[in-house]
Amino acid sequence: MLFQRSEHSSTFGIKTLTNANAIWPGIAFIKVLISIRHHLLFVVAALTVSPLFAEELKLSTSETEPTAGYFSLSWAGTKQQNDVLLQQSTLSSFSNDALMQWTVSNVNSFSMSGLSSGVYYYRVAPFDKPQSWSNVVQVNVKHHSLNKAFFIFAVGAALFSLLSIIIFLNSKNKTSGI
Amino acid sequence: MDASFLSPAVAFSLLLVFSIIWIGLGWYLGKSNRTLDDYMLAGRKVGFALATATAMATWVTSNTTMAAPQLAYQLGVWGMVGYSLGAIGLMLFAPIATRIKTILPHGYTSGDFIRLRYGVGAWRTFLIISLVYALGWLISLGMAGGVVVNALSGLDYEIGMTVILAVCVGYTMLGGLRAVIATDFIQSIIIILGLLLLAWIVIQQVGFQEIHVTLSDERPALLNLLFPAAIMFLFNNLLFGVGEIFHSNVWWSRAFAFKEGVGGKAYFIAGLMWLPIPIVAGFVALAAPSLDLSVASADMVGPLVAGKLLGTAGAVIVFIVVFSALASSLDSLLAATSDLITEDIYRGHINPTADNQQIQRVNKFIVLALGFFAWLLCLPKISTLASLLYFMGAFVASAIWPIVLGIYYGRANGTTASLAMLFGTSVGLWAYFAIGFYVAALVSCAISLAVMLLGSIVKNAEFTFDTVTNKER
Amino acid sequence: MAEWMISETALTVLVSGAVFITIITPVALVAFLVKDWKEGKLW
Repeated sequence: MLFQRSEHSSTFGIKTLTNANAIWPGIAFIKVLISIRHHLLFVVAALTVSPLFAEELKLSTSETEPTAGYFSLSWAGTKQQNDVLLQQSTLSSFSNDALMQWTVSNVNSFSMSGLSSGVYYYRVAPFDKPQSWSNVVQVNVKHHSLNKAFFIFAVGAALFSLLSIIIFLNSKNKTSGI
Repeated sequence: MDASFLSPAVAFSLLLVFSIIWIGLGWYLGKSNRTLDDYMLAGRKVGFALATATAMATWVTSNTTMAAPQLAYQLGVWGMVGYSLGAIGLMLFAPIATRIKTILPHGYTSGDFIRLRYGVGAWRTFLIISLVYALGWLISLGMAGGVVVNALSGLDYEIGMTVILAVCVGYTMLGGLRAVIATDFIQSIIIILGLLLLAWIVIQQVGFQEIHVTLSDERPALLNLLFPAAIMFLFNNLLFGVGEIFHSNVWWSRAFAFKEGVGGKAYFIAGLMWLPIPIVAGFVALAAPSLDLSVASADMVGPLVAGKLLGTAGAVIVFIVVFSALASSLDSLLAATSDLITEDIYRGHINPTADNQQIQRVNKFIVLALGFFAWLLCLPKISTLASLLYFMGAFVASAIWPIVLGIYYGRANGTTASLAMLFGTSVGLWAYFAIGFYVAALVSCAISLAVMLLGSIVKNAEFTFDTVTNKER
Repeated sequence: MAEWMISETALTVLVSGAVFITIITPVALVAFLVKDWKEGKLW
């Protein structure tokens, strides 16, 4: 083995990587850089999920840039029986003008569909703690270009027309075919 | 939303009642089956009424009842209409069905045609495509049974799935194609009445105006006739449907089973009757936003709306409709796939001198084996298996031109047909992953056409059917 | 995103038309069945 890694946990669940026995100093230096980066990432992650915010829900989306206006939102961090409030807005401030709201019971996913192109923001909160909002998820609905759609439509229409014509022509003439 | 609308006990009783009816019918009809033609092809003279009903009912799968609402919910108006275009496959097959009966009066399967027209190489390529599709469809139907029953009633997935598969295997084995066709007739009536009731309730209790206003406000893409993804979906879905029908032995076996002169009319009228069904089923989903429903997953939007509007009664209706749709497709698929394996693999490759009695026994055994094999694959409930069905567009659409050009023209030879199917499938699969599911069938069909044309120009096989009729068994 | 919304009337016609055909279907199927049965052409 060129080097060994050892890991240990701190009280906040932050793991650090240390090198022991590194043979190549260059590699050791790079490993230190990577470990600092990991350290920072772990600190950020820890702040998000640390015990202080245990009740906070974590919202995620199946697609961040859906091309057909539909996607699925799901959240974790609550017992499934709890109701949640789900909010949608076209403003990241969730001000009243463009707000939509649903109460979702017994499940922790929501299938959204039919949205026009644009940016939409979502957040959830437990029904009994309506101010403890989850992270905000941003979904950027970007429909396919209409030109692309019409091109594919045209190819399909051409194939279909050809098929229909051939079948129609051959079915009329009883003595045709082989 | 309640966790489930029906109690497991009610669900199980419903399953039991219908199972007894279907199996009873199967046993009763099985008694009058004497010859192989009786068992496999219902005597080769099925009349117009039963022919039309079976063509229509078999094409109403659980997809029609569950996926049509999902498509309407996700792709809006063009989603539902696009799904309806699946009817075109039935209608285009009408003249093909007539031709099949003419050129192969003693044929049994789609494989027989490919073997006689194109030879052994293309036959084997075609069999692989057919079996991949058949097994994929079988598994997706089996899983759908368990999933829907569980979602509606909490009855264990394993139990629902097992009962539905076992019942279909049972009456198909007992009664052959006659049982399949007779149950199809009853199931088609049930499906239509159930869907009509649900649609009527939605119109009554929610209404067109409310639906239109809510969708315009909250889900505008669903009403948009320039919805790009939905526009792309239209012809891809049509060609997927054409590919499914044109290649599958489910439809070829019916063409052989229908009486002379019946096939053309039956398939055409069946297509017309099927056309509105995805619209009626899909429309129900458009009411979901108006009812303030939070839809956890899009494939359950149909049952959700029914449950919200009708409570337990709605759930019962959905349950019965979905069970009938599943059964009417499962039995046909089991019978036709078993026919294909028996005729083209057992008689074609393993035991060419088998007599009809032996064939009938092997056929029944294969129905059982298929059912068991599907059950094994459905048991672990690998959800990605169900989504395998989406790949099938690339497979089945590659067979359209080899069949159409082969049935009417004699230029293309076996190598051309094999290559057309191979290239169509591979490029179609590539397109599926590289571009999207909405182009797989389209690309496969186009590539397959190009290969067929090239091959026909390069070499003329000068094939005619009269040199071959005496090669039929 | 370009939009061309289906009107309420068009939607109503589309769905009502589909419902109408679907109502005729079982009636027609049963009628055909009875006719075939009487003529001994069931199967």
